[in-house]
Amino acid sequence: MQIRLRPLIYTIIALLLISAATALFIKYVIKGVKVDVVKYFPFSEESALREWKEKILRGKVLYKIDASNHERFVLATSTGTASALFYKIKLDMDKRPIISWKWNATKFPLKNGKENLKNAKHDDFAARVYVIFPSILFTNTKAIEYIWTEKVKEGTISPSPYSKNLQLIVVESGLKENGGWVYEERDIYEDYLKAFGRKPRYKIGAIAFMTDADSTNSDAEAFYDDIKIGYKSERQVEER
Amino acid sequence: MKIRNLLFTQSRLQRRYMRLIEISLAVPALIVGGCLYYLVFYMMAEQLAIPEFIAVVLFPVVRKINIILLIVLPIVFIVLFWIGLIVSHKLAGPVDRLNRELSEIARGDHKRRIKLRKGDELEPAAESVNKILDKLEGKGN
Repeated sequence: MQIRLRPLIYTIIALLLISAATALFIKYVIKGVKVDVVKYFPFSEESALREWKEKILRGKVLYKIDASNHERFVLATSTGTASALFYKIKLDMDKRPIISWKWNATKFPLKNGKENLKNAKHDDFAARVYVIFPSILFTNTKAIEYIWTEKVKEGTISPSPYSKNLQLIVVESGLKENGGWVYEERDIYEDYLKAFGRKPRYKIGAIAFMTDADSTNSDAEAFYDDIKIGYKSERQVEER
Repeated sequence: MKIRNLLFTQSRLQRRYMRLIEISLAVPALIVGGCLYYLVFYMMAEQLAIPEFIAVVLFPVVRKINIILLIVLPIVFIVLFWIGLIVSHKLAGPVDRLNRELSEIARGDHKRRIKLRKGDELEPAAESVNKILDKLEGKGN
């Protein structure tokens, strides 16, 4: 039986090229990274908020599981109030933790003049997600706050008006044209380096999210869903 | 300075006692106070949990407490110094006096008798020495 070598060689070359192209496509085109999920909050049950602790600063924000088009999510409504939902979770920063979530800000707190992240009177945001790094000395506790502002440019990093240990990172700005959900995925290690300018010394001790409008005594509304926290898979870390 | 002369005998013994008393008062007070200070604020911070809430609620309280401590602590240290001075004087005074009187007697002043304040710890010892001197002079039984 005569074996045709040429078609076989062409097939092998074609397969190799397809594999290489797929690998390059995954590496450079698909932005999402492979994550080993440690904790996932789908908010798909009415009781989903029970595992979160509410921490109140000024009055209670209404956090409830709402549904639309068979999808369940957290609806947060603040009427001049500030309270956050808090979840304790320990994660090692050396293992490159990743946090992802979906959110949608529909009503922004009213701020007089130009929105300024360093102004305590403007320290209200329709939506924010915290990653907290507790320290034995509570004055050294650090946090990254991923915020959705009304006017400040996306990508802005600024310390909170209250402490340099709290760094605000603007990840979304203004109402979205389609009014839909936005998916976020953040490399906490990279964000920490950008925000604090040095390697993290402490582990992640908790995550939280909050919608508040107490400083402006106005109203705010946002939706949260699918909060996931985990580690970047080892393969992805090695590739960097 | 009358009070200084009265309370501070300038003897090494009193200085040593004073140091001991002040250290034994100040060190535990500082350790316990420091632990309480830390514990109270740590528990409050644990309750607040969100760093921003800690900064808004707790930091102003910590600042106020620190200002109060800055005013109160020097007063506490002055009081501790006085307590140390008085107690060390009570302890070292009679020992000093006894030493001085015994030195005089040793130099040959056998008529001399040791007089200590009533209630002093070394009063029985001084009385015993006086009795020995009385016996040596033939006045005793």
